[in-house]
Amino acid sequence: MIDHKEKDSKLKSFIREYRPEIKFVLTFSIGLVIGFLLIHNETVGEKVIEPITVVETYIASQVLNVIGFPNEQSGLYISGIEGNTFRMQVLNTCNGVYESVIFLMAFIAIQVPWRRKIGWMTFGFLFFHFVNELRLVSLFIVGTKYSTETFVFFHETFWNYAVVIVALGTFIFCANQVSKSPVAQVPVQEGAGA
Amino acid sequence: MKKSEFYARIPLIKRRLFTRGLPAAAVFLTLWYLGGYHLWGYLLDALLFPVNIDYDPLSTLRASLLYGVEMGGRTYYPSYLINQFNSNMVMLVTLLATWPHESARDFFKVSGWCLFYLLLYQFLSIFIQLHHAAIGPDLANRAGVFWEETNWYLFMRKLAAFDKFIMRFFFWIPIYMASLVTIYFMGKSKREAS
Repeated sequence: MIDHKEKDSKLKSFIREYRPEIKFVLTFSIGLVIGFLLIHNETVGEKVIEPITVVETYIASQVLNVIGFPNEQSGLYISGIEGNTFRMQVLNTCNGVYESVIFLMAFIAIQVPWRRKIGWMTFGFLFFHFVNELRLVSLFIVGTKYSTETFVFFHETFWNYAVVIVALGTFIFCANQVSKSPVAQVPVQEGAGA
Repeated sequence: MKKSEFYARIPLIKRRLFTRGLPAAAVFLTLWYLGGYHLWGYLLDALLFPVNIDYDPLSTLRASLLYGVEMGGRTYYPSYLINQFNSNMVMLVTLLATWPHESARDFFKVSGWCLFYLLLYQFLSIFIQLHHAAIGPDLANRAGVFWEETNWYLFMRKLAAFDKFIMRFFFWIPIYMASLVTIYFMGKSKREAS
């Protein structure tokens, strides 16, 4: 009986102490599921996600052309030209969309006024996609210049790990910047989950 | 740990990510790839014991884990690239090395709970992937069974995709949080009992 009461009070005090964090986790989780269902919808995939991926492929292709790796882009493919036989397809998991949804949902879940967080949220989102472009460009360079094993290592291990760290690091940095802003200080102390 | 203590540790955590977390991840990945199945086989067997694992020890970077599962009179082979499989593990290693633990005992306690929740996640992941395959059109068509899409199948298909695109890379966060929360409750109850 005492144990039950103790547990009950512990749970209550935990909920009271960590109420903003619990609210953050719940908002984030629900938002993540909704966001995922949205981007995993076939129509959204065709009309929104694929065009975004094509634009990302196009930008990577243009950058590669500028830095001395001539190539041709066709849809989701980047193919080397002038003797370069390497060909790369940008798939759904390489476009950074899933990581972006995680980043955006985490930012939405922070309990800070929108006018304060929208700027850093946009900055973080753009920065993450800049890093993802670096990923695409670097993978084409590695695929062109080095062995298949090296490409697989960078594609499957290095960048998988780096993208998770960058997404999380960008979120923590941007959330920290938001919490530093004087107007946001009171609500953030109460509740930023970051 | 009190909430104030938790937030007071954030600057230290940021510093330790670079001094301990990333080097620990690099060591883990080096051992993972150099060690191959001879070193990690026991862990992989433990994490995936509901299914038979077929692993190519000669290949390192491109090695896949294959589950040989009998379903509908045929053998089904869902596969993981090793580096996708270890995404949650390597992030947990990073976090365990980064997080400032009060003592070595505390460190091992958190590690133990992380391993426990990681096991639970692997079971869940295997169940989702295999059940999704078992009730899906591919297996039914191959077995020549009349098959109709059900709501349960649609739900499982979304869940399997959620596991493949998000949980496989980001489930280490809830695993670590669950470990800390478990210790929070267990630790407090001991103190109060004494």
